[in-house]
Amino acid sequence: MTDEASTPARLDAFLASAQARAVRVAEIATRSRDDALDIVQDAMLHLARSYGRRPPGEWPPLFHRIVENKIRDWQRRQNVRNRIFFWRTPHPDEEEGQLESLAPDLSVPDATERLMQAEALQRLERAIAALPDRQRQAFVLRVWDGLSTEEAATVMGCSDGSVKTHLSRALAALRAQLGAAWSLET
Amino acid sequence: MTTTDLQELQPADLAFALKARQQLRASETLNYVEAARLAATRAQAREMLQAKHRQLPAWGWLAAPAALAAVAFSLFRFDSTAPLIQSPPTAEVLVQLSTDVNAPAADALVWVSDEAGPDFYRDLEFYEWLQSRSPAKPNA
Repeated sequence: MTDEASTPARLDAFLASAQARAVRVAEIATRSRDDALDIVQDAMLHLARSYGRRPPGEWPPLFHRIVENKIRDWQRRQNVRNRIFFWRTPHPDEEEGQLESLAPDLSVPDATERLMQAEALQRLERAIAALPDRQRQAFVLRVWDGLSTEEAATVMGCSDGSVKTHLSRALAALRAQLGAAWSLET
Repeated sequence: MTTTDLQELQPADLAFALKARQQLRASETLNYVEAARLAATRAQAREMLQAKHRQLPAWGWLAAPAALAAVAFSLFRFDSTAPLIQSPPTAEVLVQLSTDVNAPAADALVWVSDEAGPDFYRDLEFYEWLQSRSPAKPNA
């Protein structure tokens, strides 16, 4: 049991350190910044409500798992929504807004380099989003978050061997999709 | 959280993974609005932890099951197929019920109009007499 008085501050510090990455992970999975923020906000409150009294060392894997579950719930809802509202196409303004937000500012120096980096990042994000769920989880946890195989296995609820297999397949799929030149062009 | 160096990967995979990690981590940014939105959520999470546990008081652990048991017992005793419930009431019972309902209560308040009573006309005669004796006769 942790010190009751310091727990809120420690949880706040943990969430502050994890929030930006969680938003990006959710954004890549959902392809929507607003939905990603909603997911992370829900996950934060879920962690505080259900696991806030747990030792702080348990928070990182729990938070990862909560975010992943929220992403999966979002994807299920989207599937149902798309099945029901299959005729709805995105409003032109929505698409324009997305394109504007992705476009780099060409007026600053090194604009060409930044443009290339932005394009490479977008290709990487699209490739990650296209991975199967388990492979995407393994890649995010091991490569992006830097968790050990054991920690990633705890978060994913599977064995160490499964994590290695999923990661290996994920890397193979990403390299195949992005091509050998991707690392060089960035 | 420990950081691993992914040493078990093949060199080509390792190079790709490290490059991807660098790219992805560099993209972890929040604008002011997003940061403020998440800060508000963190404040809400802190308040959740600071609020005392709303625990059921000790007497509640006895009272709640007792109340549930009382409801369950009364429902258990209710038998919708009982003859008294299924048969219509007799005429005697209905008469008795209506008598009881319509019987005036001893302490009931009763409003009685004084328009038709003797006091009204007596007061009216007195008022008319008073008017006739008045020199000004304002209402004449």
